[in-house]
Formats: sequence, structure tokens, C-alpha cells
Amino acid sequence: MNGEDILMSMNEIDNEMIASAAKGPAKKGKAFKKIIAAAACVAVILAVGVFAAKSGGLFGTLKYEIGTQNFEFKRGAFSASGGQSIVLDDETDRALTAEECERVFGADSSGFYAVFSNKTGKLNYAEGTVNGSKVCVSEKGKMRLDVIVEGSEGEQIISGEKVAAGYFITDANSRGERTAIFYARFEAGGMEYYIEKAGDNKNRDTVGTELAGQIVQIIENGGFDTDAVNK
Amino acid sequence: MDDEKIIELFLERNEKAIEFTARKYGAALRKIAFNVLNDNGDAEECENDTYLKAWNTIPPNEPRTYYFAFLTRITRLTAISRLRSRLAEKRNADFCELTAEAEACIPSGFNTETEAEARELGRKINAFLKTLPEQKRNIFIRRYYFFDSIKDISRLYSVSEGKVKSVLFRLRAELHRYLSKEDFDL
Repeated sequence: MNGEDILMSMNEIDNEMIASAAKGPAKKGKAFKKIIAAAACVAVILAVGVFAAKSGGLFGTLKYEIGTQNFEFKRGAFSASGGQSIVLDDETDRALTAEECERVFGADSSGFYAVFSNKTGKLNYAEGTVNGSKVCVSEKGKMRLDVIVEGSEGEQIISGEKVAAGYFITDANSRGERTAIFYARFEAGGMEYYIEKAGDNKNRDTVGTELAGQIVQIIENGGFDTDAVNK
Repeated sequence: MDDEKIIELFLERNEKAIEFTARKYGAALRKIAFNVLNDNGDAEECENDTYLKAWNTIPPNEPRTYYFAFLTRITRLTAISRLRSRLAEKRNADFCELTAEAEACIPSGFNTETEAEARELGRKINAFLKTLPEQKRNIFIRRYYFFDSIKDISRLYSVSEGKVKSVLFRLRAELHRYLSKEDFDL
């Protein structure tokens, strides 16, 4: 049996599946699932008129509508407690190449550092940037962060997965600028995720919407394909 | 013209059935054939062979609700058969890559020497596809049924080529695991 025989056997798939794939993706009105790039994320949400932000000002929950789901970030507090990037005796760490980053995390990813199991060669933990957001992904129970989040992370169900999400706003710097930092923890595809995005507090709804859209996308895609890279 | 009316023309042995089919589906069928054969002339011949085979098989078939699927099945088989008659050096490199990907999905020990075994494999793949979310299923079908390139799929779904490759890589591994668990004895 060769590859052509296998492709021929695809003739047995259902007519409805063939018709559905032939039709192509859903129209822009349901386009939130296509959101990846930050600019595209905002443009599509505005185009379909589902962008809505309810803010309690400096205090309270920020809520964003992503498609048919309501995504909430609870106001929290944040403290950096030193590095926790630990490589255990039975692990090996290295930077991922640009090609590996793209293969696993997509074209808008960069700067990924990864820790692999010596025994299985599989990825235990990785952190880097995807679409301007800090992304940490790990095997369950093996998350290691370089910051500690202390504060309120309201738990909600997004696309069938529990998501704990919060935000906080820094004090003003010497120029009077404040930064809004949004963060969330969740599981997808059997892996744990921590994701964080920061921006000018004046644009915090844009930042929050982009991150929420990115989280929905990751969950609905079953997470990143971390099996596509090994030690 | 809707498919039911085209099928009626076939049943009346009215050659306008071919004309309306070509207008409605010709481009899509040619694309499938071109994806396999990488030659416009061969792709057009394949398209015409599809119309002839449709003419010869309707009736007794009456694919009123699945006409496009009916036609694409003929085109796929015709194109792959034509490819097999070519010398190795004239093979389409992209299609060779696609067949290598397909081979990676199937655990060793599987056989499709008989038509029944090939059909059974197809049914297993069909059952696997039903377990997938819609977009992932569609990406798999666009690649391994319609033979679309990675670039075409990434444009169609507005995602990066890397993302498409990543999705397909994972789906092939999942299919491999799925078939390994299934009892494939006939």
C-alpha cells in the first residue's frame, strides 16, 4: 500500500464533509475564530459589531464579548518574585529555532526557550512571544513562571475550558503613563498555559480584547502543537 | 442551475447536462486534477473524462443531493490513475510530498490490496474525521481530498502556512494513533 492508495481511499468520506470543506470558511460575521494578528483581531470584532467593553474604571471587572462568549478579566494584583526557570536533572533546555517556533506556535511567534524531557524527548515547558503576548506552555504540573501572580483571577468557562483571568494597572511612571497588564491561566490540548499581554492603560480595552481573542483561539484549536518539536 | 435539475437533464439524456456541469463545477474539478498532475492540458483532459464517466454512470446513479462529491470522486480517481501512468521523473513534486504525508498516517501492517480493504480504510478515516472540530476536519479534507497546497489552505482560512503545517502534522499523528487502536481485521 502506498500514499496514493491511501489518498484514493479518501473517496469513502461522507458527502456532507466534502461539501462543507468545499464551501470554505464561515463568513466574516462568525470570523472571530480566524483571529490571530492583533490588528486583524480588532478589525474583525469591530466589523461584526460584537466588541463591547464594560469597565468599572480603576476598580472592577473588565468584560469583553468574543463571538458569542463573554470573557472577563478580574482586577488583581501582581508581584514579581524572582526567577523560577528551573531545569531539572532529567531535562535539557535550549532555544527553539525560528523554524521550530513557526512550526509549533505560528508565524507571529519568536524567542521561545524550551525545556525537554531527557527520557521522552518531549517538551515539558516553553516560553516565548506570540502576537505580542508572552506565552508559557507546559506539561501538566510542570509550569514554571518568572513572575508570581497574587490577586484575583476570576474563573470562567471559555469554549469548554476553565480560564482564570485577571488584570492590573501599574502606578504612573515619571511621564504619568500607566500600563495595563492582562493575564490568564488555562488548559488546552492537555497542556497548561499562562499568557500575558501589556499595553498603555489608555488602550486597555484593545489589549484585553486582543488577549481574550487569542486565548479563545488557542483553546478552540486544542492548544499549540508541542509534539511538533523535540529535544 | 441547481443539481437536481442537472441530474434530470442526465436522465433525459440531454447533453446540456454536461454544459451546465462544466459551468458550475468545471473550475473546481480542473483544480483538483491540476493539483495532482501539475499540467493544464492534462487537467482539462481529466475534467472531460469526468464528464464522460458521469454521462455513462447517470443513470443508474442519481446523485441529486451529492452531485459535487460524486464528480470530485471521479476526478480524483481519474487524475491519480493518469499520474500512475507517468514516468517517475514527470511526477509532480508537490503531490509526491502529499502522498508521503498520507503514508505517515497509516500504521504499518495495514493493507489495501483489495478494494474491500481500501474501502474499509476509507470508512475508518471517515469515522476519525467525524471526531474532529469543523475547521480542522476541513483543513484535512482540503489537503488530502482536494489536494490543496499548504499555501492555498493558509489563504483560504486566513492562517499562516506554519499553522496549517502544524495542524496537519498533529492530525496525521492523531489519525495514526486512531487507526492503531482500531481493529482493522476484515
